[in-house]
This record gives sequence, C-alpha cells and structure tokens, in this order.
Amino acid sequence: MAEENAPEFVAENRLTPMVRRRLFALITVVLVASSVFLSWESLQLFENSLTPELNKKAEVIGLSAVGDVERAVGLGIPFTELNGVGPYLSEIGKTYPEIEYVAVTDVSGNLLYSSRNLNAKTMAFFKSPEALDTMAGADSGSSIEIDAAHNLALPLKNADKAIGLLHVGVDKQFVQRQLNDIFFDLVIILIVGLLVAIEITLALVTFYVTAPLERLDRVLALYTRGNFSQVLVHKSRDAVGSVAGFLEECARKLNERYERVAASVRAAGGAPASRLEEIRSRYGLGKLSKYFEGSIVDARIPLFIFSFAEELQKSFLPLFVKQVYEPVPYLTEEVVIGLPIAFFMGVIALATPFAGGWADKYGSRRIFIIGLIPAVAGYIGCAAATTIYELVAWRSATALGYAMITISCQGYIAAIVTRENRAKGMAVFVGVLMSASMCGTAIGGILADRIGYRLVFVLAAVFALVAGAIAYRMLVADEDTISPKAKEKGGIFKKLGGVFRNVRFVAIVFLAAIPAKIILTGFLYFIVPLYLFSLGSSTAETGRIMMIYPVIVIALGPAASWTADRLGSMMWMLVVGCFASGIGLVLFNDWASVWGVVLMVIVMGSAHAFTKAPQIAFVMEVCEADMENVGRTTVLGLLRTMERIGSVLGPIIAATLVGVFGYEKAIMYMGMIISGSAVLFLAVFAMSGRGSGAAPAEEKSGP
Amino acid sequence: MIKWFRLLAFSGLTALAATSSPAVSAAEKADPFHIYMAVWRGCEDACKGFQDYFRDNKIPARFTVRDAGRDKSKLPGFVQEARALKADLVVTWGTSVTRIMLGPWNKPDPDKHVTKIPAVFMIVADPIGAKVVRDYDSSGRPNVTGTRNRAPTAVQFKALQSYKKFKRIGLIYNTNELNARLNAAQVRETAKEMGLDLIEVTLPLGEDGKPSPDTIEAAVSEVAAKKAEFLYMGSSSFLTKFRKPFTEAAIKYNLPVAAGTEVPVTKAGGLMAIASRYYNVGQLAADQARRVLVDKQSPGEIRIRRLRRFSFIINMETARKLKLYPPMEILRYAEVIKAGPTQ
Repeated sequence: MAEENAPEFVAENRLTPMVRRRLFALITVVLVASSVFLSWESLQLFENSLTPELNKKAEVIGLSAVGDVERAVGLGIPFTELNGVGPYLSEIGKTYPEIEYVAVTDVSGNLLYSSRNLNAKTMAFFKSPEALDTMAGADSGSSIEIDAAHNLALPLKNADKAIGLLHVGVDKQFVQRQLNDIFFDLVIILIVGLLVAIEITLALVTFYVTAPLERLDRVLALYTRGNFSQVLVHKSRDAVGSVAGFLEECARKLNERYERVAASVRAAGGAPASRLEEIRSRYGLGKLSKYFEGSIVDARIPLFIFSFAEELQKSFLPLFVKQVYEPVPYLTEEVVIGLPIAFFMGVIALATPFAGGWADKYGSRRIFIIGLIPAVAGYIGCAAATTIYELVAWRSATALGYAMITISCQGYIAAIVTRENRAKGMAVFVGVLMSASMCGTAIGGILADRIGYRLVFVLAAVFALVAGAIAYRMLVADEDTISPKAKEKGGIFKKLGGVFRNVRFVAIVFLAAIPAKIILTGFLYFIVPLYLFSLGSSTAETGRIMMIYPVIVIALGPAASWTADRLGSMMWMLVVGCFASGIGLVLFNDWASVWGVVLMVIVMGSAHAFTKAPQIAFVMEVCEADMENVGRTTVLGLLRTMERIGSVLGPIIAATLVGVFGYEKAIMYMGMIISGSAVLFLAVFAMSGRGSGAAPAEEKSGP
Repeated sequence: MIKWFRLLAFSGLTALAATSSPAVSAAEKADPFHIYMAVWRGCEDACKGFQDYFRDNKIPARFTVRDAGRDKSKLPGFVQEARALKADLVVTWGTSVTRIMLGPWNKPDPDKHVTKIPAVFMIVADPIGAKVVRDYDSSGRPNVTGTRNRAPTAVQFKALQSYKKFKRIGLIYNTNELNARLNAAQVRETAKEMGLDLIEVTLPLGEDGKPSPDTIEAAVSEVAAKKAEFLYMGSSSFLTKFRKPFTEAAIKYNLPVAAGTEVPVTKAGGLMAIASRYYNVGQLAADQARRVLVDKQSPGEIRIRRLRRFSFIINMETARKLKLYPPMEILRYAEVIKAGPTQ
C-alpha cells in the first residue's frame, strides 16, 4: 500500500509547496511595497496638515488665557500680584496634551507665572530680543521654534499698554506621537492585509488550480499503473477540464472495448471466465466510478471569514457590557460584566458535542449554513442590545452558531483528509482559527475606535453572511461528508468512568488544561480589555496587545514542537509551561502600565505555545490503556470538553477577584492560582510515582 | 468653551423667565392684577426684580409699594390697607415685615394678619426658624408661599476655601435676634462637619436687651486676636444695619469678611459674598406670584423655592486693601464690584 501511495505523496509535495512559496513571496513583496508607500504618503500628509492645525489651536488657547489675565489686571489686581495663576495655567496644560507649557513674563522677559518648571534655555529665550519684539508688534503673536517646543508669544496689555507676554509652548513630539499611533494602526492593517491576502490567494489557487492538478495527477498515476476504474470529475471548462474529458473518453472507450471483446470471447467460448476476470480486475475495468475528493482548503476561507467576524468583538466586549450594565441581584458589577463571556463559553461547551453529532448526520455544509442563523441573529441582537440580559442572550445565540460552524468545519476536514493526514488537517484547522483571531481582534479594535461598538457587531453579521455564501459555494455537497457511523454511542459514559479513575488524567485536566483556559478567558479576554481601558488605552491599542497572544502561539509553534521532540519529557514541558504562564502575571502586576500588560501577554503566549502540543501528547501517554478501551478520539474529546469548564470559570473567577481586590491584585492572584496549580500538578505526578505504565520518556525526567 | 458654560451657569438666572406663563392667559384678564408690596427699606433690588418680571413677561399688573422705613409700628396699618384696597396679592420683604404682616404659620390671627389674600414673601433668611412656614414643601397655610435666598452654609464655606484655604473662621452675632441665633447654630454645625475651628463672639446686650454698635470693634478685635482667617457675617438685622462700622473694623484688623447676603459686600466693605442676587430673588418671588395669579394655583401647594445657583460677589476695593486678591479660577465666574485700576 505504501508504495502505491508513494507517487501521490511525491506529487503533492512537489506541486503545492512550490506554488505556495512563490505566491507567498510575490504577495508579500507586492503588498509590503504598496503598503509602505501608501503609509509613508499618508503619514506625510497627516504631518503637513496636523502641524498648522495644532498651532492654530494653541493660538486659540493662548488668546483665551490672555483674555483671563488681562481681565484680572483690568479689575485692578496688580500684574505681579495675581493670585492662583500657576494652578490656572497648569490646568490648561493638563487639559491639552499638546501644550508643553504656558508661561507669563513681564515686559523685560522675567518669568512671573508658568504651568510647570521650565528649563534655563526656555527662560533665556523669553528674555531674548526676538521674543520681546512681539510686544512692539501688532495684536497677533509670533511663532518661533525653540528646543523641543514650538513657542507662540502673545502680548499682554492693560489699558493699551504692554505689560508682558504670554508664551504657549506646543510640544513638537506631540505630532510625532499622534503619528506613531496612526503608524501602529497602519502596520496592523498591513500585517492583517498580508495574512488575509495570503489566506485567500492560497485558498483560491488551491481550489481552482493546484487541487484539480493534484487530482489529475493522481488519476494519471492510477492510469500509469494500469488502473482505469475511475474517471476525474471536473466541472469547469479549463485546461484540466479538457484533459479530464479526454481521459474520461479514453477510459470509457477502453471499457467499451473490453466489454465488446469479453462478449465476443464468451460467445466464441474461448478463454475461461477466470482469465477474463483476471484482466478485468487487473485494469479496473467493468464499472467506472467517479474520482473526486474534497480538499482541506474548501473549508478554509469560510472558516477564516467567520472566525474573523467572531473575533472582532474581543478587544472591547467587556467595555461594551459595562455600557449597558445594570445591577443584577446577588452579583457584583464585575461578575455581571464577565457573564457574556462566561455564557458564550458555556454554550459552546454544551453545544459542541450535539453540533458534532448533527454535522455527522446531516452534513457539514448544511450545519454550517444553519449555524449562521443563531450566529447572525446574535450579532444583530448585540448591536441593538440595551440591557445586560439581552446581551447575554444574544451572545449565547452566537455561541450556538459558533459551535455548529466550527465543528462542521472540523468535521469536514476530518471527513476529507486521510487518516495519515489528519494531524496536518487539524493543524490547518487550528492555524486558521489562530490567524483569524489575530486579524479579527486587531481590526475589531481599530474599527471600534472609529465606528463604535454596535456597528462592529453589524459588520460581524455581514462578514458571517459572506462566510456562509462562500461555504455554500466551496464546501462539497453534504452526502459526501455524512459520517456512516454516526451512532455507536452506547455505554460511552460507562467507559468514560474508567478514564476518570486515572488520577494522572484527572490531574492533567484539572491542574493544567482547565487553568490554561482560565487564564485565557479570565485574564486575556476579560481583564485585559478592562484594565487597559482603565490605563487609558484605546480599543485599537487593546486589540494590538491582545493580538500578541495568537501571534506568539503561531510564531513559537515550530520551536515548541522542536523542543518537545528534543526534550522528550512532556510532563516537564507541561509543568514548566503552566507555571510560566501564570508567573508573568505575578511579576508584572504592579507596573500599572501598558508595557506590563504586554509583558504578561508575551509570557503567557510563549508558555501556551509550549504547552499546547505536549498537553495532548501527554494525555495520550498517560491514557494509553484507556484509549485502547474507549478510543483515542473519545479520550481527546473528553479533554476538550473538560477544559471548557475553565473557559466558563475564567471570566467569573477573574471578575470576582477584580471586584474584591482591584485590577492589579486580581491579576497577581490569578497568576498565583495558575502557577500554583502547576506546582500541585508536579506534586501529584511525583506522588503517583512513575510505575503505572509510564512512557520511558518520563523515566529520565524524575524529580 | 467650558469657561463660558460655567459663566453662564453661574449668572444665567435669566433662564427663570423662560418658565413664565404664556402671555395669552394674562391677556384674557382685562384689568391688571393689583399687587400690594410691603418693603422694609425702600424698593431695592428684590422689589425691582419682582416688578420687572411682570413687565418683561407682559403680565398686566399695578403695584402699590409701601415702605416701612425700618419702623415696625407701621406694619399693622399695611395689613388693613391691603384689605381695604382689595389687593389681589400681598408681597412682603424681609423677616420683620413678613412675621408681623403674615403671622406664624400655625396660629395666625385673622384680625392682625393677612389670612385671606394670597401672600408671597421674599428675603427671609430662615422661614422655618422664623415660624413663617411649616416646611419647604408647603407653608402650612392656604394663602402663603414665598422664596428663600441663602446659600447653604456648607456651599458658602466651600466657596471660601476656593478663594483661600483656611482653618479658622470667626463668627460675630447678637443673641437678641432669633435669626442670628438660628444662623449661628447652623454655622457651628457646618464648621464641625468640615473640620474647621469656629471662633464665636457674641455682642453684649445693653440694659434694654439690645446690642450697641459701639461694641462691634471690640468683638472684631477679639476674633482677630484669636487668629481667625475669615470673619463670617451671617444673618443679623443688627449687623446688616451697622455693616459699615462692622466691615471697616474688619479691614482695620486685616480680617476678610465673608457674608451670606450681598448687601455687606455691595453696600459696605465686605470682601465677598456667596448669595443669590436680590434682583434674582425678586424675580423668583414674582414667578411664585405668577403661579398664584395666572396659573390659579393655591399658594399652600407651592413649594418655598430657592435659586439653585449662587453668585460669587467680590469687592475688589476691599481685596486691594487687604492685599487678598481672588485666584484666577474664581475670577472667571465671580461678579466683581468696585473694580478698576488704582495704580
């Protein structure tokens, strides 16, 4: 069998990656070049129009202050004895971030009042002739660049007599900082654009070009081996189509000829029937079947677009909930704000097993489309929600749709790929979810800043519908994905009981898998948006920071599997990884700065990148015996289902901690809970000993 | 922008006029309302504000103004005259006029007091303490309503703090006036709540049971000796009458006077007041009168109202004398009087 398959593998490996690599390189070069050019142009444009605007604003602010000072002097307060001018000017400085300083000097440039301490250079400038000349001039001020600021000098008068000058310093860096923010947005859009373009181009190329070619290649391989039992089905009338048509014609003629020859031989009573049969079976003649196979890429674009739509809300959902918050009996405000996330995760946990059954029974495409109904209704409902109850209900509706759609795509991929390719197929599935998470979270944040939370939900509904339309077109008909053995369920719970008696499995679930989800939904999805908001971040910035997580998980994925292969000890990777994922929260919780959060997300993302694969591998290791009883899929499915408990608990635990201790302490305690469970996990494994059928890898890694 | 908004909010009492009734209902009445106004010391700002309100809103009315000239004995005659003239409404100015003409809320005397004609009082510092009304929801009498005009003491003290932070505040009052005693009790309570040291000095009463103006300076010097940073002038007819010697003595001892009414600041040397301008109080009282005359509401059902915004009034001449200039922040919304260049 292996030899038979060999040419196919060669074909696949030969064709696709080459096309991919070249396309990837081409798209990257074209997109990066055009985006860099566009960004540079627009930044230039911003800078040119922003600076004069700022100076105009500074003049308005300055003239208003001039008016107040002149009024006070006009009321009869001596200019040098004005009261509370410092605090008054500081207030102006605090209100307008672009104002570096506001200062008042007398006629000879001596500083009388200022919004803050000024450096010697600035004070010297106040006494310079070019500053003092302003008093002699007309009513308008003069603008001069000094040091780090753009200084605007405005004359102060009393009864038409010059009494001094009011200086407004505009922060030169301010424009730069504004541009930096825009620049970050542009970079994010560039990265996301790149990912989306690659995702879509590759999928389209695969769908229309390489996959048909691969199929043709495989059919040709069959023919070269002398097997003419199948004909290639290709609907479109392109090059592959005409070749396929020609081949079909050949195969059909060959069959006809065989039938004719066989009939005449039989009629002549020549060769024995066994000889005819031998020829027939050797060349696969007699009955023509259609060669067709679906491809992983069919599900790729719809899944990507739908997940992208779903992830749009991630950077601001808790903030949105806060807007519609109203007291709920027996629950603190923080817990109420965590409810929509908790319910979302809970519904997914409950619905996924059922949705999986439906997909097996009715076909992936059908369940994908039906799943859109609750999903889209949920988005529209959220966009219009005015109470916390509505929001929880509509998020739950979307969760049901999300469970149906993701499981149908997973089922589709599972049905299509061969057993050997299953791991690769699932890697594609997870990869698509991750890159959609990256793009969606970041773009959602940028959008929310500009069009508001509610419109982002409307947009999510539109994207989900687009995903549905594409799914309808690209997924193969449902008959081909209906699983024939959608029944064998009896006694599954009885069998599972045995798995639960495996202390080490239970330890992995409760001390590693569940904590990993708790920190993900509790810290990243719940605390991070709220905490960053309290630190003054925009949702665009929040989106960028949350995006770090999937970026790191994807980026470190290869390094993680390399390490796992070298290290061999899954248990130690799991222990160290779990411990590390929480430790960032403990170390940086009191920074009270955006960079502290960035570090926490980086540490947590890196740790998760290293524990994701080992977790599954380790479960398979400790459950070797159980898997023989109930099957590998069942054990892994059980792990998936159990860890979702953590997803539900995450926001609730986080919310309770925030309510009692405030953000900083809550983050620290969350980190301690997660790292603590890793220590407990180690203790359980140390005590349960290394005896019971442990893999050799574990032997050399004992404490 | 914020600045202008605040300015408007503070002095923009004109908004009140906008609530006035449509002129239509007033025009229906052919002959004008007859309003009898009894005042204590001439038709001053509140009296003018009251009349202007009717004119500005084109409600036809004619006014009979009677000035007691600080003589209580004239007041019973006013009651008889108002009845004889069949006035549609009686307006009383000040605590003394109001108490004598309207009587206590719980047992008015139909012979001596106005009990049938609707009455609106104004410039009564503490209407409950003076037993003019039962509470602020209702006077407790079918024919009486009115306005009050003092800012709550805590509001006044907080405004003082924004002018200049202080810890010790002096209070001088005379014990023979109910108003003054009630006010002193309020000041005591507020000072305690705000953690301020209160230096209380009472004016000695003579053999006739009344204080003498000659004792004012000694009281002021005592407060100054105890290192008060402000001298608070609360409700007292006696001190209002002798506001000039009182504020002059304060300036002599370098004590800024803060008052709960505008008169010591606008008509003497008090440094500042946080109060409703009398003109605006008069307009508010006129609005109460409109409800009675035009809207035909029963006075007993109309709340005893007070203006929600108060003016910060500063006497710049005194500020210059004390070299205690108002901070820029306050100047943005304060009403400054006696301003002008000196140097």
